[in-house]
Amino acid sequence: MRASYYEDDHEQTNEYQREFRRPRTFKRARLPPGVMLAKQMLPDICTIGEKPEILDEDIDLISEGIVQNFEVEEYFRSNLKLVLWAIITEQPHKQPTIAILLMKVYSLDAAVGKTLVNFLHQQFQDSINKTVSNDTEVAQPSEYTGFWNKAKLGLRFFSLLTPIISEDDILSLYTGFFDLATQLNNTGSEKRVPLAELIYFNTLLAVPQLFLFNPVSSSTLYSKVQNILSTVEQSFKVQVTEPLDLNNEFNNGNQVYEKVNIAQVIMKAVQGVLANDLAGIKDLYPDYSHLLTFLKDTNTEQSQGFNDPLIFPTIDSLQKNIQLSDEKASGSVDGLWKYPRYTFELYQTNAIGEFDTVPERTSFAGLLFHDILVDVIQSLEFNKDTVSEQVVLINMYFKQGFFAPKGLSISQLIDLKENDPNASTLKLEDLAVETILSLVFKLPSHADFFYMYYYTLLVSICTASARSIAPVFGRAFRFYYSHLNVLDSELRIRFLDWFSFQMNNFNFSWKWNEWELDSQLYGNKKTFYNPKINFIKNLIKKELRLTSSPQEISDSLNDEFLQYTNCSLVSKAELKNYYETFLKDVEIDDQLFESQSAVFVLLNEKLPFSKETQSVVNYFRKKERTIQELHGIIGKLESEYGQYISNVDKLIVTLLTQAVIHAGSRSISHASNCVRDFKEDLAEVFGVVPNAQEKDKWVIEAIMRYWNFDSKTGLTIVSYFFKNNLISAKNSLVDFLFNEYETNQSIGLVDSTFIESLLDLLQNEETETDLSLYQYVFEKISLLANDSISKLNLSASESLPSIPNFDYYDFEDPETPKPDISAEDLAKYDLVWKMESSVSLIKSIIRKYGKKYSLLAAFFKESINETTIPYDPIRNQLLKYVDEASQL
Amino acid sequence: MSLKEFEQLNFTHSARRLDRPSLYLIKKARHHPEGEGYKELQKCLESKTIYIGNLSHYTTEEQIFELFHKLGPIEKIIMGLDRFKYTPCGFCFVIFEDKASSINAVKYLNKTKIDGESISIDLDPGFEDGRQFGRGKFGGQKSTDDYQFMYQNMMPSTYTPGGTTTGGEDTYVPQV
Repeated sequence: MRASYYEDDHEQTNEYQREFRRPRTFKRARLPPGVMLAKQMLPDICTIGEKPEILDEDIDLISEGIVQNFEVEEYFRSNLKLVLWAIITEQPHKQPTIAILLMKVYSLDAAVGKTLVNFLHQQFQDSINKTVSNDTEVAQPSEYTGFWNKAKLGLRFFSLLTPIISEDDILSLYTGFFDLATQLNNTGSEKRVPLAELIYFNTLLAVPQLFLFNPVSSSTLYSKVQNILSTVEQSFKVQVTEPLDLNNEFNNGNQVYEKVNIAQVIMKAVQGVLANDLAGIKDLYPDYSHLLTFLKDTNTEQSQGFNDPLIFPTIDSLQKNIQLSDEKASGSVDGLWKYPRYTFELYQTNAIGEFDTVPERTSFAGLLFHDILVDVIQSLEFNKDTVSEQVVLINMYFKQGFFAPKGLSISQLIDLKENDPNASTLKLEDLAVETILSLVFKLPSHADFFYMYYYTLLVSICTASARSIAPVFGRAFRFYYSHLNVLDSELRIRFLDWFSFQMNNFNFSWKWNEWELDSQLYGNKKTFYNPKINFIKNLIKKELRLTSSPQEISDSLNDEFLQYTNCSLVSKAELKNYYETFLKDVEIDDQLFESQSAVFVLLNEKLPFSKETQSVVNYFRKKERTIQELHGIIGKLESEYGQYISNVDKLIVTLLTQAVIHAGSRSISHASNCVRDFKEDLAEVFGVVPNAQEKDKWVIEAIMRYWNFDSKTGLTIVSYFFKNNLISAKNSLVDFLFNEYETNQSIGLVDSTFIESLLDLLQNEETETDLSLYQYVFEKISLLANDSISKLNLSASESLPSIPNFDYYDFEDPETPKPDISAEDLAKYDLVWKMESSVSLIKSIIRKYGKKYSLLAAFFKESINETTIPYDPIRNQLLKYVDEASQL
Repeated sequence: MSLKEFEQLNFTHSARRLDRPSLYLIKKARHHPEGEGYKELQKCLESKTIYIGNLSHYTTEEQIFELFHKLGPIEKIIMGLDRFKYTPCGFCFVIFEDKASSINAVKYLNKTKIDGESISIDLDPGFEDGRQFGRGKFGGQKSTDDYQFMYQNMMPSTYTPGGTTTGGEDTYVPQV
């Protein structure tokens, strides 16, 4: 610890100093004292309490520094105020230590303390004012959590200042917020009012902080608080609403764990923590009394109130955003209240040792930790490195022993529990990862860009302490893998993204043997729609796209999984059939379809017109050309090689399309440039084809057959053709994506690149009024669901065949007999998975484009009947989704 | 406004923002005539382009696309090339369709690994033709001149170039 902040401490290398170190010049000007002081002291305030062993020293030194310089150094003063408010609202776990610091300053110099308190109060007031004046047109930064969230944290902070601020002033904040929540709630006439629930929850969550520095239940404060709580309990009724099926992370109404509405349990949780002489608070927070001895010397009679009372907005002025319907305008945390908020459970009670590794989610501690972590994650979104440090050190701000020592494995926890039944088994790592994943797997989704932030945050946490965090991730991976059968389609993609991103950063290392049984039972082309096999396939394909060394991926896999490194979309036979649809009497070399790279079949020298194909490719490589040249080559093809062509139009469209992407095959940018540069030439030739929809289909097929081994690149190039208006009908792509190849196989239901392409297509649909594409997608996928039911020969109300669960199988025990399933049963199960994948995909699409589907609700309600969707459970489920679209 | 806006301490947040111009860009801006440097840094904040460095020479545009397109639609990727050999030399530019994506890329994906290399991402004022080529003495990046000098002077018997596809430091592989 330094002796004084005036000393130039060269050894200190904190984050701020590294970033803002002045350039090394020969004549280095000394910074003004105020700037120097701010540069040295304010970063220390930001990290205050991270090392509890020097907290008392820090408090003494910093408070003295503040008091001595506050009046004389304007720069220091103004920045100190800003940084205090920033810590309070960005790192709320540090509020108790900031409060102690502030009270210490107050005890040393009441005027300085009062100035700071009133500045923070002004910030608090500003946040509340902005909840009304917030202009939705003004773009907020991505770390914007919402002004109600800032107000929540302001209230929580002022609750800690009971030793120096008059009780009545602080309690008036509570009565103000509770009155506001109750009045707003009453405007809903028995319907849920999101803003009312937000204020109610946030205010209640702050209540226990009133007693943090004074945990005495015999005080007048305690009885006043109890009175307020009993009034609120009578006046505020939490409206219970049925959660939307569309927002369920699991399909078919499945509940993997019991979800609890947090607004319904907060009152009980707070009352619980206040009961038994505030035992809950004493168990949760450290005893700070040794740091507060100075309060005895401070004249409590001098307890001050705020300069101005807090002014709350009127009910009318809040009507505009009472539903919190716009996440961007509401903020990333306030926006979470648009729908009822439920507990999220990933690390369930440990089956072996029967203990929890995260605090009970409905307890005050569970709710508070979740709230703090979400606030830190969202409000410090601009610095993932700081977030990754903070989320695993918040235990420093809570009672020692509340969490188990860091880095203990489950088996070590079992031992710990056996030796000491009272020892804590709560793992901070579990809590932090579970909270981040609650944001990753939340439905409906956040803005898309946030997910990459969460994935990189998880990687940063893992990188910092890989040994202790990696098993925590492993348990999460296993949880989601084991529930893939019921996991929502959109979340399957997200799980895939997270898993692959994590593996990409850790050398693609995974215990593949755990999944061997699934592969043996359902892989190797035994089934097509099994969600776990498709996850494995998609994962390996994605890994291959993320590396320049496919061998590295192959080396990381067990033999069982090497089969999935073949990324071909369709089989060799299917490819051959495709070329035979427009060629005749020509021999296509089978060897051509063996390659795991793009192959331009029509350029093969064994084909009679390969020279003409080469001329077309050369044409697409020229800078100066005339369209007549191209017409000349096409004319020659038609006149001289007619006997080898069964469909001239299709051949020409295919040849030109494949030639242009072959000319640009060096990279996707190259392909994009080629398509852009030759779009007019292509459009002119394509324009001759009489049936435009047919032409679109041929173009898409030509691209995807050329890139048969790399669907992602193929679909990206298809999007370039759309951009350049060389494909016009979006339905053509939908047809292609859900085309059923060979027997009963629709790649669009299982391949992640196909599903992403569909979502991009719907996302880019610009017309607000034309809903035909959305209708078309719905109908197309529901036909696939119908088809599987008809193949299963089920009557309208018959149950689906049940699929056995082999989760009990121990892959590490060679003695365990391997289960066996007959081919007939496999076929049945595959149809069930096909049906479930179809319905799940429709669910994700309706949720994602809810506004569009709500406009189609009336149409679907009329058109969906026993004839269009004969199977009762599917029909009822889809009608329910359509109905819920208007509630999104 | 002046460069001070980027140089001075900022305490409106409790942690440093990662979406500000890097020290490299600030140092570079100081060498510009008065006012120009500031404009250059402002351009970085408004730009849809990012610079990615420390790429493996084997990393392809498709890999970059796979990783970065999750942040928003990509308009173009320009791979940095050795100006003599026209081969990738460890950097690239990604131009997004909107500026929020480029800011997010700098915030989130800096230090992420591709092909085992921890990539570095920086804001960029915008791509201009010619910037795709390495400015080093040997055609590659300036920062790798020393390495290239060493590489070219090594005896073939003691060093086999291209023997590895994934460079970088050894990574601890956690047991999940």
